[in-house]
Amino acid sequence: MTQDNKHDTPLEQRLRRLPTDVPPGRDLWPSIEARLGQPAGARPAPPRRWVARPLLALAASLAIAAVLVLMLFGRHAPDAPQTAQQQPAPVSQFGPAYQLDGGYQAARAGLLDDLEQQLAHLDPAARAAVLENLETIRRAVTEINAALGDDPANVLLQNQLLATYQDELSVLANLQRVTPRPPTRNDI
Amino acid sequence: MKTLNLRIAQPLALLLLLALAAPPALADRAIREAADVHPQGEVEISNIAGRIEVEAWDQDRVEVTGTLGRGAERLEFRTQDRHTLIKVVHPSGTRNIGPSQLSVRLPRGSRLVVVSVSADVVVKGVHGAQRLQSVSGDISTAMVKEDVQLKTVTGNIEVDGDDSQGLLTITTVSGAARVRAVAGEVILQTVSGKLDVESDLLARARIRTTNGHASLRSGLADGARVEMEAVNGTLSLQINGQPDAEFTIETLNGQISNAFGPEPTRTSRYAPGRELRFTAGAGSARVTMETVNGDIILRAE
Repeated sequence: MTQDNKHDTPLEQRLRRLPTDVPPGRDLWPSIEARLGQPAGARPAPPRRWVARPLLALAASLAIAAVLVLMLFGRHAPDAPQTAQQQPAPVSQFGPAYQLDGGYQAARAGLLDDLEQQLAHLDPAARAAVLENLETIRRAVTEINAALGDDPANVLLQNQLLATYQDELSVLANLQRVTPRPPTRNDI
Repeated sequence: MKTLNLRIAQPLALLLLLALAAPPALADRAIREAADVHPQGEVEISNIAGRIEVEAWDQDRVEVTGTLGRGAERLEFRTQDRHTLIKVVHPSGTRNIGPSQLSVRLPRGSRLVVVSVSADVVVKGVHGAQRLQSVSGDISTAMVKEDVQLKTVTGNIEVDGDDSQGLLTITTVSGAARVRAVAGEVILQTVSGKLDVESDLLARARIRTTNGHASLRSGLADGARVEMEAVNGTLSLQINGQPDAEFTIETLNGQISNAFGPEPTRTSRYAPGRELRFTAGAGSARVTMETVNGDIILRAE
């Protein structure tokens, strides 16, 4: 063995110099040995789980009931017109491990700030179409991000994610251009 | 009882009188304006609701006829240097805007800018560059020689060319676009609208959709570049004539159907994804198509 050591790479030599065992900070054996010698009845009693179980079940039931109530009320709530502010929070990921930087966030936030005003100038059908299509884009972003989680180096997905982010900014920017304030005599 | 009737009848009569004496802004009013202009000048038209019809003629003159709808205050018609403005003006705070109908004739070589919200836009015979936009109104135009840029949110778009070269740019959110006989370069982008392009020969095509379906049927010029992309939509490309192109086609979860021979292959043993790379003829043109979930169809003529 030792005669082979001279052919080791520097890394292998450094690895070989590492200690082969690590002594514990506290010797646990004496207490274990003492407890092994005790009769079974003298051992500390296990926690009384039969007391905890009903409490857990009660808590779980309450949680489920709360969720059901929320779902029920959510379903029966009157349909309010969707607004831009009800849109999901900004998606800021590019793939599973990369957060988009402040420049993108600022550009997007600036466009989103104006969105509500622009939507106010649209008729209900156009407003609904815009919100639905922005949601379509966000769903696509989520799907592609999820797929990138499985395959982070996939070039197709990276291209499509970038293009889809650009689609969203493009829709928001174009909306600014095509929804002018109605012309008034004050503009002239 | 009689007193009560009188109490109701008097205000009603007053209202009736007021309605009869309403200012002309509340009713449709005929308009007619005209001015001599530069043959290659720019004409800018703005009308929120109704219809805008534009037709080119062989006179160096702009003429506007039509009617102003409910709520419109007046028509702004102004010509200065090479710029003509035609604008339906509404008083501040007008909420109930009725449709105004504008029919505009202008020199054939004019550049045209149209801004509308829900008004439909129809343009015929204009040879100059066009920039037309509407939120929910439909746009129909003919593309001759110069570049055309069209934008809508939900409005549909139709473009008929005469096979002359030019750059056509179309952007919609959910509006559909149908393009015929446009040579040169087309750039189309939508989120969920249906895109349909048919041409004899294209040099450049860039088509992008998130969820809409896109179809392109065309011959490819020497050295042509075609890029089609979708996230969930289906992409269909029919190449007219003998294909002479290098193809790069890729999808993550969609299917690839190829009428030109080679079958797609898996991109990985362990992950989804299919790709198809092949060259037909000398490979002068380059075709790239990619989707995440949408299918890709390559058809022969």
